[in-house]
Amino acid sequence: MTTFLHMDGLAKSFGDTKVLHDVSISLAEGEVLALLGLSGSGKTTALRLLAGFETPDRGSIQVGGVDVTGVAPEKRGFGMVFQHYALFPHMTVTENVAFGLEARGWDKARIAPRIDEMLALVHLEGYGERRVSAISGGQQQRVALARALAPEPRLLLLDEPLSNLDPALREKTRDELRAAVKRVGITTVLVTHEQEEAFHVGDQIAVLHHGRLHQVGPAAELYHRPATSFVASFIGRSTALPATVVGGSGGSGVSGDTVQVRPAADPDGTWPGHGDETFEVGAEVSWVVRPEALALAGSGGSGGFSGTVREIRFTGASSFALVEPEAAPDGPRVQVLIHELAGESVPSVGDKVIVRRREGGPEPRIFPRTDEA
Amino acid sequence: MSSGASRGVVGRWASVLPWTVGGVLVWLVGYPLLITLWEALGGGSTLEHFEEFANNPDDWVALGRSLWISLASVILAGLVGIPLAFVFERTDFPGRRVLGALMALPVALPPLVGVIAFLFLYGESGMLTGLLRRSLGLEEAPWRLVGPGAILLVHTYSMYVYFYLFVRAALTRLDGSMIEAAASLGAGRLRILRKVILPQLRPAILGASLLTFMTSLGSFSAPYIFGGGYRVMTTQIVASKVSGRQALAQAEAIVLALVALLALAVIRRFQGEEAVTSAHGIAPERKKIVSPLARLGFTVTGWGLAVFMLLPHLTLVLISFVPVGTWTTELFPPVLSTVNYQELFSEPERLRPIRNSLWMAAVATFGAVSLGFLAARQSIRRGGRLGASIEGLVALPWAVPGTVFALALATTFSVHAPALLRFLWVGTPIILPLAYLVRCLPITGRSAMAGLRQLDPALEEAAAGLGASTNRRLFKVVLPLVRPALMAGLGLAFITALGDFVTSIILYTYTTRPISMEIASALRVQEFGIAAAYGVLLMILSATAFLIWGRGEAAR
Repeated sequence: MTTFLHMDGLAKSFGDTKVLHDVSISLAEGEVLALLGLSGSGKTTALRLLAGFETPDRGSIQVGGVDVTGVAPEKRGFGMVFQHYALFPHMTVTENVAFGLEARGWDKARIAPRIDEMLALVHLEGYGERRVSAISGGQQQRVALARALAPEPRLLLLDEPLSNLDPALREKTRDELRAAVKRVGITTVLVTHEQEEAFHVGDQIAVLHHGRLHQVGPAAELYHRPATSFVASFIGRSTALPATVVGGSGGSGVSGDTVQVRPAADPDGTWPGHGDETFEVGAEVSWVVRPEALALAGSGGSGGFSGTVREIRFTGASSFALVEPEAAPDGPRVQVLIHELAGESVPSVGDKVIVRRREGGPEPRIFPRTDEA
Repeated sequence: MSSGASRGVVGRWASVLPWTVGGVLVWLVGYPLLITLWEALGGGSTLEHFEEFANNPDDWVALGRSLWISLASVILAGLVGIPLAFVFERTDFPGRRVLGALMALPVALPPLVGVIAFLFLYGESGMLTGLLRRSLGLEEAPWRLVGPGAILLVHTYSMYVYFYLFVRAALTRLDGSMIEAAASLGAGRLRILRKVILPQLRPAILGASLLTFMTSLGSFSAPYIFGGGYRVMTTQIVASKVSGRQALAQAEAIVLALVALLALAVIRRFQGEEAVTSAHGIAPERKKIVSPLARLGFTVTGWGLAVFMLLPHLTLVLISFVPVGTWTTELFPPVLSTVNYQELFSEPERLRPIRNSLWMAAVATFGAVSLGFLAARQSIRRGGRLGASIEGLVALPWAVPGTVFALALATTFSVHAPALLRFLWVGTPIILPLAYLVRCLPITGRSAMAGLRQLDPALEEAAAGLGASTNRRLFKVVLPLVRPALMAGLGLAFITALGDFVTSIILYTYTTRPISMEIASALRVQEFGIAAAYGVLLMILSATAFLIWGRGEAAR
């Protein structure tokens, strides 16, 4: 894989507020990168640095092997779709799409066919003479995409492009967006705060939190091997429980692989935990377990810990039980998957249950306790 | 987040331009006031002119009068304007729309036109006065339109519009669901008015009060024509200047400027944190007047008011058709003809003021729109202290009375010292357009600022991202989108410059005299028909500009 886009050690402050710390990400040509994070995570600032609307305090940006860090936005040759689209309200759809072509001095003869091509790409044939205020939100979003793609940019930047659409339209537009981007084959960076959107559109997902890059990778990697406890809690459902390392896989107590931990919820048992770091025996850790790694059993049998069901969340094909562990009633409630299609029965609130490991469920992860969540 | 586009796109121009604009503003707005202060201090060597002011009882009396007249004008204009706003916004009766628009008319007319229209109607030999005198069989006119009462009458008539427009706009924005919520919580109509509606109108009422107070403090036409021996600060300054006491006039101007700025600061403090009025709701439903009697009452009152408002100007139109010297004792003019208008357009010396006013106002307006736009753009882009300073300089000529600025420009540009950026422009055709430009700057600057603030910064970023150069972004994206706001500023600025009397009376020369000066001199030699014809001409030209302005407003 050859790197096409390379952000190297980007840092940015506004006044005394550091919004981006030393962020480095690489992306191959034609890939889609989703910058995922909560509001204030620095994802929008990262995108604006890429676009050239802000200048980084430190670090550099290379595109196709060329450093563009100090280049003015109009000279970068990137396309951008803004959160509120920023369509020019005094122009028609055609005039909006033509704007970038005229600004870059395209021949008149080439402009008209290019506009037709772009409107076809976003399924807006016949809408060219409409005012942009006279079309729907979803259509505006597509005009914004057509306008950004028309001048054949080297890189496409999307700032929360779906956040202004209603939920029903969002899913359809999301699929069309990915299809259009993949058809053109353009390298793309998308900013979003929605995990589902990032998973659907992004080939690579970068999780940003408080201005720091926590992890970059494909969706499955983020889900199964979260690098930090923030990623583990942000991506998918999970419960983070305080636990103590009691032994390593080699038995000596230090391990980079699977270790044995004793969660506060189960002071008599040991559970496996997977970490990327080395942990001493006796270390206090955060043990992060996904609901599908656990199952409920009635009383009897061996292993697991007992607790009381405090809440049942019905989500359709499955339900989740929130269990208050007997040994740590003040700690977090443990989320447990109940797979109704597989014949598991749903308990009632107040039932006493045993929480055990589910066969074949994902490995729980461990992180240093100091790690910010 | 900062205004990113500017930072990323820094060119050499982009970094020099704000300082250049700031420099021009300092030179035109701040510098003349400082020069005036300097000269009033005798070049920094003496306080004698300020002592002269302090020891002159006339000055203190004039200052006191200016202040109480301004305060009384606020109260009277509010008493007329606020109820009118309620009537026209919250009720519905036949003719409400047309009348509602007519009520705003005085804002579009130069103060001098309103003043002479009043004179022809209510003055000692005015039409209404004459009518009353004859029908009552009196020897003399039942009243004399002179002194503080006359000034206040004219002020109320021309400034209630601020309250009327501001409160109407605030009532439109009022969230109807808030009133319904209050009612559902058991509040009666009075309680709703007192606890829900009035507090939300507070910013509008304070804003109108500020505007009325500052306008009254700087008012010149009404005290000049109706004051008689009753001098306020503005007329006092001109009197000192005319009698050759230049340094005293400068000291008086400085004092008036300081008082105006102080008043501005005090009222601003009062305004404090303006309550954020919800713009999301739907305005409360207009009350249809159902009872036929009440309906008749509202209709008659509304139309009566409109006629009352229009009567002075109708009188002006009538008098413009009365040949000079033909109307002496009759109740109605015996002869009507277009001879006054013919004279205006056939005699070169009568035509000259019209040509002067038009070209000077056009040049000044163009300059004020350009400079106002540049200043607004730089102020918003740069932000911070420089941005705030630019905004303050643009607004300064609004806060400082026109008389003061005229005197300051007269002081600064009556000396040839190019090294100090002072040029001998008084007595040349340069000075009046320049003075008009400075006076119009707050109008054009403010509307440009409003237009640019409404502009989504992402639009310019989008254009930059699409490869558009700075100029292309300006001409293809920014200017087309702020054009309605700029046109609004242009219309109002043109009206102001065209009808200007305050600065003209200090800075005009015979060859550059504008229409307003010609009106004043026609009045002096009792050529009322000519004065009225000029007045009507000003009205027509202003109404045309007002229409352009109105269209700009509507497009926003």
